[in-house]
Amino acid sequence: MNKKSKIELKKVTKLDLKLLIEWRNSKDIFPYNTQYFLLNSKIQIDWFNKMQNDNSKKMFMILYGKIKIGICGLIDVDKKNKNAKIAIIIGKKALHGKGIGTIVISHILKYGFNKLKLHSINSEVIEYNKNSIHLFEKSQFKLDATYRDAIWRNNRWWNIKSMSIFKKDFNEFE
Amino acid sequence: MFEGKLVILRALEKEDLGILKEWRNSSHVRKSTREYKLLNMINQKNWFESIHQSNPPKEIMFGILNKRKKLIGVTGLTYIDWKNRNSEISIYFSTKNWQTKPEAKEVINLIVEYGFEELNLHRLYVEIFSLMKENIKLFSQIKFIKEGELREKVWRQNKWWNTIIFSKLASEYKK
Repeated sequence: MNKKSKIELKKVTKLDLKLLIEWRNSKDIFPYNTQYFLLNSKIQIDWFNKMQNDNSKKMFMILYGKIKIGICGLIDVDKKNKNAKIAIIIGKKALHGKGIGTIVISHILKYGFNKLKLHSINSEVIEYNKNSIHLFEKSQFKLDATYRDAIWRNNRWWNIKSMSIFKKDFNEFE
Repeated sequence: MFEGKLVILRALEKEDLGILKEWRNSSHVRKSTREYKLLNMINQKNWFESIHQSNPPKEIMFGILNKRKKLIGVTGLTYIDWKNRNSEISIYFSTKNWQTKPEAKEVINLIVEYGFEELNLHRLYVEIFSLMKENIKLFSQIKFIKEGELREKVWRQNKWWNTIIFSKLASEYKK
């Protein structure tokens, strides 16, 4: 079986929350998110409950060969201006840099452009997250803006890169 | 109250909401703001309540008075992020073509001064629709730095428009 066919996106359930806390608080993920406090079960359950009636958030568990390896989706979905922000976490570090992210992004773009009929999808990445910047570039995202000194992390200021892709520039991954 | 040579900034009051509604619904303000609905008093009251909810506040709004104490516009800091010390600047006046008036520059200077000197913010930014040439000119003139353009970010007047991000850092601020 090739990588592409081993990857599936499934609905997030309450049973996944423990895994999400583990990933998002881990030293491989935490420094790359804008979130600056550690998550506990209350925060995660509130997040899950709120999401049930929130059309601006569409999140999915990422399965690789039936095993849950991460979470991804679209946030800040703006129906009026037809745009959204992409979110992706591959929880298992051992699976980073193996082309899985590219396939997952392709799934999300397909969902956003074809199902939600979006016009553009945006990604915001802290500048030191070189792997993610590279990943989005590979997926044909183009740099729109560099927010200067937009985040304080690790005792200094960092820029945030804002990138986007249009429906017309998206070639479905075959 | 913060006093300049031409204008005074004061706190907004509930009694201001009626006139603010008229201004927000006028075509020259609607053109430049993210709001796409027409606002009614329920929207206005909810907004007023919401900006007083959090402590420290996420929004700090002011009424702009002229020297005859007449309310002529609204300004403020919105989306205040106390962790990363940044905020967006919001400004509009009751009349058209305010961007070329000296009052506009003074209001922005007062709000920038407040953001950096009092709130100890690090970065103040604005997001301007590319159709608002006057605003782009204004913020360029007062030496905000262009950070980039978010391509086709908003749908207005039957087409897509970029939005342009300008910012000023505390290190670039001189009184």
